[in-house]
Amino acid sequence: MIEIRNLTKRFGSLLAVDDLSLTVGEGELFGFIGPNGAGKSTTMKILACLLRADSGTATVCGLDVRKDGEAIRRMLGYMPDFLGVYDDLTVDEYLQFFASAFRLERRKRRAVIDGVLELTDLTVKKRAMVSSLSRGMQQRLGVARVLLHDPKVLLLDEPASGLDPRARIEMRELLVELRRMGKILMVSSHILSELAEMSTSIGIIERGKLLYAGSILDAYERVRGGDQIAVTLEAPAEGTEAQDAESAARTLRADSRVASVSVEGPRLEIELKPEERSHHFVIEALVRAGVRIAAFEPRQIKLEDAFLKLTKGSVQ
Amino acid sequence: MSAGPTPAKDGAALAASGAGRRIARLVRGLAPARLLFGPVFQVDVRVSGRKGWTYASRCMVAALLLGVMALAFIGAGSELDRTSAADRLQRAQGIAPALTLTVLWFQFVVLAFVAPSLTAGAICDERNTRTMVALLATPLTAGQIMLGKFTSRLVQLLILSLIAAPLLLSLRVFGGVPAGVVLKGIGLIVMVCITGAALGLFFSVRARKPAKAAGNAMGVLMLFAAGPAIMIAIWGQVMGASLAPGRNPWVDVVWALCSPAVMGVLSAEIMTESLPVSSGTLWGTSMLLHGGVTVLALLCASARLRAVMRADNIVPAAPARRSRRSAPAAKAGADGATHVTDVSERFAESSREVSDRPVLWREMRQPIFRSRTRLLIAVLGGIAVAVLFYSQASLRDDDTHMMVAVLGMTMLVSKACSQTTGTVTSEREGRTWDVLMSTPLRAREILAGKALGGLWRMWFIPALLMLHFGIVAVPSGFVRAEAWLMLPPVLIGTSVFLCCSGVAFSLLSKKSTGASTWNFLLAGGLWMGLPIFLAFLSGTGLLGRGGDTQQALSAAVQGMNPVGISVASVRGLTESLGESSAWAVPGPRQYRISSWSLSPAEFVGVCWVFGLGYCVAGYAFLTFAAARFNRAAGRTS
Repeated sequence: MIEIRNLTKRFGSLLAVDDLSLTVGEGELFGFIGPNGAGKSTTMKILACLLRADSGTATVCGLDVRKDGEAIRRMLGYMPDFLGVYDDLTVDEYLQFFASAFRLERRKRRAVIDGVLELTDLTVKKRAMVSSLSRGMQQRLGVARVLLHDPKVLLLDEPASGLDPRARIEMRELLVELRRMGKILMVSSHILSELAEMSTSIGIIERGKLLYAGSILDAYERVRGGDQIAVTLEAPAEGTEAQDAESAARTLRADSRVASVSVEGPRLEIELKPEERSHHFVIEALVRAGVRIAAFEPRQIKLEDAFLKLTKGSVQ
Repeated sequence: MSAGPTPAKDGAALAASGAGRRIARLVRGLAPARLLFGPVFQVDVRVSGRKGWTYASRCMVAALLLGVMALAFIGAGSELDRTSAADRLQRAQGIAPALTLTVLWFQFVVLAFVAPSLTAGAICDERNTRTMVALLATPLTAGQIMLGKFTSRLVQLLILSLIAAPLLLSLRVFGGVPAGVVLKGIGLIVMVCITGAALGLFFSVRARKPAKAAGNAMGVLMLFAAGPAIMIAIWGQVMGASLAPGRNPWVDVVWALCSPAVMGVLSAEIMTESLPVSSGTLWGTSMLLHGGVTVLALLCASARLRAVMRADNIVPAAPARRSRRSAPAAKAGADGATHVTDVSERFAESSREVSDRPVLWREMRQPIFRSRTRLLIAVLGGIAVAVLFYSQASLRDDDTHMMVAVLGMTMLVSKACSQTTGTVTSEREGRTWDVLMSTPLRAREILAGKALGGLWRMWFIPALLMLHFGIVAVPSGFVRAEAWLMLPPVLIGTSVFLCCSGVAFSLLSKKSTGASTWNFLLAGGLWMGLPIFLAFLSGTGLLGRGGDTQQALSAAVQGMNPVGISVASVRGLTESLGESSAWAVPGPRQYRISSWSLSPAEFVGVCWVFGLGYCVAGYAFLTFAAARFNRAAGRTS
């Protein structure tokens, strides 16, 4: 369990983390979202015992990051946003190096390395030089490295940055697999759709301040206004008149459950009142008015919407 | 009917206009304002203007210059005290040329070392901070980038060389020193600095670490300075003739490349000594040769940078065939993100077993030579030098062993000073530091691993020295067997001390050049600064002339100096042996440190105290670094 209370970190006059408090529970995959320079990496570095906070407390599995650095390092895997590699080692040697650094018993190392290589699908690259790996493979090697000592907590700073679509999907599947294995994951990313798919909870941070922390559904609820529906009217058949979108819009505006309707060519953009959750009356009203509907698309709220509404888009 | 030009004509016109555009671009690019003072120059000048180190280095040079001047003045002044009135007057007239020479030689030595350091990071740092790609992606040509970097550093050099101008001017006005010769000296110093800066830039494109680039550039500059003299000396010995300057015009051309020799001739002229050679001709040839080397180094650096650009497809590849050597470069990113070096290829497909001390394991396996070609060149060069040396030099001659000891110790100190200064900084630059810090490895384990690994990689210099003294000279009977007891602690103590201090500075500095500078300053301060300071104190008479305090301090200063103690041991080891066997000939068997005489047993004791003392000092440096580790490394606990 990760617990942060009133954490503050300044770099000169820059307030990188401002009175941040959050909790990440057992078996959670916590998505850390924020614009560039929001304070995500700083928070992760403090948790990894690589930066000292100015004030506040942070504990990892009940251990204080200020006092129990060595114990925390043994149960925590940290992957920085840019993975530097020792380019004079092979993949196997690189993993052996860190296995040795994490004090893994020599007789167990081989099996552990083979295991993490298999999990990260790098077995075929075992003898390749680290420097010859592609960016995606290097990122996977980074994940393999943090798994060597079987840490309970994983802090992954932008693990998918710079990866191609296939590598991103593979990385996402790997993280979901790790979550299934019962590890606590804190993952920062800019690819919100992916975080939405794999995270159990999220935190949105801007200018060092945590704007939201909780489940994704709660985030949606918080930013949700009225439901939005897009209706596209059928194109006129040859020799028939075009449908009057404006009269269809007037029909809907007359309904008290509708907040607003706008017309863009043959398309109606409808926003319902916030308390209204059912959509069927829209179809019924339009059919009654003789409107032929080509498409009816209720808009799904996305993590991007929540992010944009909760943040102001400013960076430090 | 179409009245337009035919396709062939279109192509020709396009080609003509394309060629025209290229020529026009070339001409525009060659405009001095754009070539020398373009955006790269402007940015670099502004950046260096914001750095505190720029001003600190100027202050340091000025302070050193004043210190040396004070010493020279006090030295001359003390002579004045002891002479008669007539002599005093004569001596006073001699002060101005002596001071002029002091200033000129000081500038010559200091700036020759500073110049390569200033440019060594020009391209390496861009690569390490990953700004190289952005720079290469601009329309700037390789030549414009190179010259921009070069001229911006020349501004710094010019300011450093001008620091001495007021002193020289006052000496000219009040001392009557011939202005022409002084100007020639300044000109030569500036030209040698420019050559050093160009060499630094050349190696900056090739090397990955600034310290390595600076070291290589200094090495080549020293080769230019000492190489011709050694070559001529060997040649003269083979021919059985003296080949001093002024005897043969062709040999003079070789002498001209040896800048200290030219400075020597100019010094003789300042001291109004008769010369067998025209200093003007020698000076002019030297300026031309150094200018040529500078242009060549800049051209090679630009060509190399262009090769890097081609490898990254930033500029289209020339149709000419690619050389085999360019293959690894093609895989290397200009931003340094991925490097497939010769070393990488050498170890590919064969994994080694990592020990339980991973940092030490990795450091010990860092190659001494980054490619087999370099290893081969070094081995062949070493064999050639050894064959030449042992065929020409006489092992019976004390001076031969003295030269080996002094050169060997100087090499050892220089190597040890820069051996470990990049160990932590390169981890930071390679962004592997945070990952290493997130492991449970303790500070002492990381730092000791770095220091011992660096120590291991410089085994060959002590080995060569012991090969000469222990394997060749002792059994041959030209050096006493005590060499086996005296030299190892001196060699090991010096190496341990500087490797440990290098790791400490590497932890505390942001850049490896900074760490190397601090380590060189530590060595210079201890082993050059202290003797100078002692001489200063002696000159002022504060220690009493020839008193016990002065003698004890002199002995202590020489005893703690690795070169000094090596010289003392070699002097004792070879004394009175002459042409006979070491095992049979009784000699005074006295070893002298300053004015103290020691028996062999006592001197062996001194050597071991020296070695152990420096090992303890090295350990103290590591302990200090370990104590500061968490704060310097960013760890919280």
